[in-house]
Amino acid sequence: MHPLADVSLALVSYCTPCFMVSSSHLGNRASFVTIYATPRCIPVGDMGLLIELADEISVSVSDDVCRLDRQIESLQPKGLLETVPTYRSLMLYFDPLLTDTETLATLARDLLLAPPADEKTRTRSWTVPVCYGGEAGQDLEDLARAKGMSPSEIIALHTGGSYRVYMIGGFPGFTYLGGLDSKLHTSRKAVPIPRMPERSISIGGVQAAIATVPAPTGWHLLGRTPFRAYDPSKAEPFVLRVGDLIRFDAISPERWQRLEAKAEAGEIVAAMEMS
Amino acid sequence: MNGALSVLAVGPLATLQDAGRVGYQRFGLSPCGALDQESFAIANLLLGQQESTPAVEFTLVVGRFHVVEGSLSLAFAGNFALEIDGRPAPSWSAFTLEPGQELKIGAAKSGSRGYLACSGGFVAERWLGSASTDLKAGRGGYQGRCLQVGDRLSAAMAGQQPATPLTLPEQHRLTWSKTVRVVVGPQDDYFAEDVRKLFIRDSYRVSEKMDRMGIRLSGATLPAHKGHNIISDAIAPGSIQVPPQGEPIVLLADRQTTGGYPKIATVISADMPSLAQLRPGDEVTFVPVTVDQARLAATERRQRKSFWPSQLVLSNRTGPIDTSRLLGSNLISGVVSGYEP
Repeated sequence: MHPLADVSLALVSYCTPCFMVSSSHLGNRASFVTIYATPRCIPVGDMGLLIELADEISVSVSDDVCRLDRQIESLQPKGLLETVPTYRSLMLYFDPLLTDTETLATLARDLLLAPPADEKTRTRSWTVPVCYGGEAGQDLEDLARAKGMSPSEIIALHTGGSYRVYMIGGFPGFTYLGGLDSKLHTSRKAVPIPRMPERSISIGGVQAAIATVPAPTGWHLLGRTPFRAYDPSKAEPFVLRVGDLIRFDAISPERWQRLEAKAEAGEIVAAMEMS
Repeated sequence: MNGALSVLAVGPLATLQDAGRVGYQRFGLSPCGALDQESFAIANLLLGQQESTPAVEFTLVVGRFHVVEGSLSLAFAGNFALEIDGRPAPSWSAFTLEPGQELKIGAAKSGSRGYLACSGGFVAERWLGSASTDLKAGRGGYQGRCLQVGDRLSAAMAGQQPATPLTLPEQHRLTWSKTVRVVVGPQDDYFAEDVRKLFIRDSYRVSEKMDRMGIRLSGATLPAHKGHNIISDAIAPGSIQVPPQGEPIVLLADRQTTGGYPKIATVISADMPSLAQLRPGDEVTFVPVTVDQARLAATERRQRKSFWPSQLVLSNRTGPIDTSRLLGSNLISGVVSGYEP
C-alpha cells in the first residue's frame, strides 16, 4: 500500500476534481473558465484550510475569492485567526483547538453554493502615477527593442490597461496585478537582479506589479511610482486590497519629484474613485 | 533607572519576539514571533508573567551581556550553557543580576533556539499589535533588526524585585524530536507516488542554510511531475515547499506569505517546536499523520502546557513549590496560565 494512502484525507471525498463549466451556468461570467463545481477544501497541516476555487487566473474567480473572504470575515467563525486571499484560493488560518477543517470547509462550501447575496460592494479604482524609463525603469528600452516597439509604445500599452489586484504577498505590500496587455507578455529575465529600487513598476510573464520595498526580481522594470502602497510609518500601512482596480498614469521626472515629496510627507499620491 | 543589558558579544539572529503578528499576512507581512513558542512561554512563566511577554530569541550561538543601571530579573529557557560572572548557572531557570554582573550564554548543547525573558519584558517597539521583530520590514522589536554589539536592552519595568529562583526540573524540560509529523499537501498531487514515498522514507539533513524564514534540507530531490510552478497561493507555517532544484525547504515564522512552488506536506502545529529546534547537521524524518491525529497531538501539547506552572520548583529545592508561599511573595504580576486568553 502506498504509505500515504492510509492518510488520504477524509475531506477529499467531497472535493470534486476540476472540470470545465460553461459560463452560462454561472451567471454573468463572460468567459469559459476552469472553475471547480465544488471548491477543493485542502487541509494545510492542522492550522490551515485552503479553499481552492479554480485552477485559472481570472477576474471572476478572484471575485469569488474576494466575496468568500468578505462573507467569512463578516461571520467571524470561532477560532478563525486570519485569512489570506490569493489568485484562485482563500487560506483560512485557525486555532485547531477551537475549530477544525470540517467545520470551516462546510461553512465555505455553503457560502459558495448559496445564491450570491445582493451584496452592495463598491470597487475601488486607483490611478497610480509612474515615471517611466530612466534609472528606475532600466529595462524599458531593452524590452522595447526585444518587442520591436518604441519605448513610448510600451508605455502606451502599459498605461492603456486596466489591472486588478489579484494578490498581495511575498514582501510587505508587494502587489500582483492581472490585466497586462498580451503584447506586453514576456518571459522573466534570464538573470534576476539582486535589488530593484523600492516602488518599482514591473512586468513579468502575464503579470504586472507594484513593488514597495527593495527586493530581488527577475521581472522587467519599466519605471517607478512615488505612491506608497506600503508606508510602515502609518498606523494602517497598507493602501491597496485584493480586488482593487489599478490604472497607470505616465508622469514626467519633474512631477515624480513633486509627488515624491508629497508622498514622503505622508500623502497618498494615487487618486482613488469608488464605483 | 531601569536595569539594562549591554550587549558585549552576540551571535547572528538574536531578535526580540513575542507570540507573533496576526492579521497582516493578507498584505504580505510575515507573522514572525518566537519560533519555539513553548520554550518562549516557559521563559516567561519562570518569571511568573504573561507567557507572550517579549523575550530575546537566540539561535545556536548567544553571547555576553553586562548588566548596567539597575538589577534585572531574568529567565532563560533552552539547552544552552549559562555562566554568571564565570560560574556555571542553570538554564530553564530564573535568576537575578546586579549592575556590573556579566551573563554569558554559550553555544546550544542541544536544539538551536533559546529565550531570554525579563521581568516585565524588555523595551520593544510594538508595531501592528506585536513586539516581534520583522527583519524584512525592519520594524518591531529592537529597532526592527537583530541585536548587535553595543546595543542596550532595557527592562520595560523599573525597580525590579529579585526573581524567585524558579526552575523547570530536568524531567519536565522540553525535548525535541527529529521525527516530525506532517499532514500531506496542499500540493502533494504535484508529486508522483514514488517521489512522495521517497520524501517520507528518506531522512533529510538540515543544511547550514537555516534562518527564521526557513530550513533548507539536503537529501533526496523531489521532482514534481506536474512542474514546480503553481498559481501562487498562501504559505502556511511548517509548509514544505519544493523548488525546481528538488530539495525541500521547510518554512518558518518569517516566511514569505505567498509563493509559487508546490508544497508537498505541512508540519503539524504540535511539532513546530521540534522543527524550530533543529540544527544544521541534524537528520530529520517526516512521518505522515491524518488531520485528526494532528489535532489530537495539538490538544495533548496544549494540555501539557497547562501543567508547566505547577511543575516549576525553587532552584534549591526538589519538591514542587508551595503555591501559597509563591502567591504570598506577590511575584505573580502576570497571568500564570497554560492558555492564552
